[in-house]
Amino acid sequence: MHAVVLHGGVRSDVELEAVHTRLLAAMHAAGWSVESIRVEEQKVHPCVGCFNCWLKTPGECGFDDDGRAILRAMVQSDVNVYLTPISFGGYSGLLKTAVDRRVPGISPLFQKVHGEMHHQLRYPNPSSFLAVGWQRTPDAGSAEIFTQLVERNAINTHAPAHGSLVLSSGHTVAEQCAMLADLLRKVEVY
Amino acid sequence: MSGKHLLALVGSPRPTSTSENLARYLADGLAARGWQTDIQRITPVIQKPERWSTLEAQFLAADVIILCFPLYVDSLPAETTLALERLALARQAQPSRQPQRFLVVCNCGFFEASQNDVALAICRQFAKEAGLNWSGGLAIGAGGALGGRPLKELGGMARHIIASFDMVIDALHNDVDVPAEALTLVRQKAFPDWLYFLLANFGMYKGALDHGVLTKINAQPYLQRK
Repeated sequence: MHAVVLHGGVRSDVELEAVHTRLLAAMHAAGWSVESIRVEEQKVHPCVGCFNCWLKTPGECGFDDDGRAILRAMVQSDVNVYLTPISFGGYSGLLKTAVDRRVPGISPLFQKVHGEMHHQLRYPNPSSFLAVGWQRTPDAGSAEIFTQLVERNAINTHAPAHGSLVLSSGHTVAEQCAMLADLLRKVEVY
Repeated sequence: MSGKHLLALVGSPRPTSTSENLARYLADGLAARGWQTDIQRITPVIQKPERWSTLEAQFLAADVIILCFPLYVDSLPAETTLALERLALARQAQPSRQPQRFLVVCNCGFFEASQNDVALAICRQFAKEAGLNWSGGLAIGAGGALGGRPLKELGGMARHIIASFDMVIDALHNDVDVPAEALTLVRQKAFPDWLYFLLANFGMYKGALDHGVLTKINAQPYLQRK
């Protein structure tokens, strides 16, 4: 199992850094190979909504920056994992910059999924999808939105297996480790 | 003059966009009632930090803030998220805060307006954390049919959106709750889903044909056997 972690936090966030370390340890303990990418340290131009990656250079963004390499790594992995401070229930703006650049990875054409309109797959064998959100202060409403967002992303990326987890300073280290291990099993079981 | 101030934020990174046209209709409606209105695109402000202080001052001074944006990967565009993160901090840092209303319009290219609901929930959470008074989220589906054109030029296709927006303008001007009917009405469609689905796929094929890449529309440059 090969996983790509997109880390949407900053190094100065000590608590999230500790979660990152625990996440990687859990993945290695499960026997996964892991590539962790810190978005903060990448050059990723925000998506400008030009649709050139669909209609001019299909599958590839016009910005020749690290966003291309990130998408390539995600497409070629078995599991994509987002790690992010929760921002109003969603991903951090930093992580979202990389997430928006996933658009070339899907087809511009549409299909129906569970009666809803969604994009078709561009690549066969889509990756599974996990997301870990971090809250410095626990907030149930924000955590619920995060869970819903991951569900929606899983539909749109056609992820064969997915799961999400919201951790906070209210969890002990042991609890965090156990919850992370449980999260990984959602993919392993699949 | 009413003395009231509207700040309309546009979250689309495109220089001209459906989001901006939606914001402009609402801003024009309030300007006609004597409001001072400002429309600000977020992308140029994020890309040129020297512009930030102006946006922040407008945000903190406005009586009503409207955010219009396109759905990007089930939520807000990255630069809009970055802006909201900074604006929430600015608002929280104020020693005394005047009441400010916050209303959101999210449009998506999918047929179902409900696909915007998580993004609207994120905006509502932003309002809560920033201490703004949530005035409602308007979800528009089938945004591709709006074609980046002003609402008034779209005829019957946008009649329900205009009717909803007129209710919103009245509610904001009279400082009363936005009626639930406005939130429901804006979600309606002027055509069947099968037609939109057909035209949306046709539009993509035609776009690829125009650029000479029809046979490569589903190219897989990053494919690697797993």
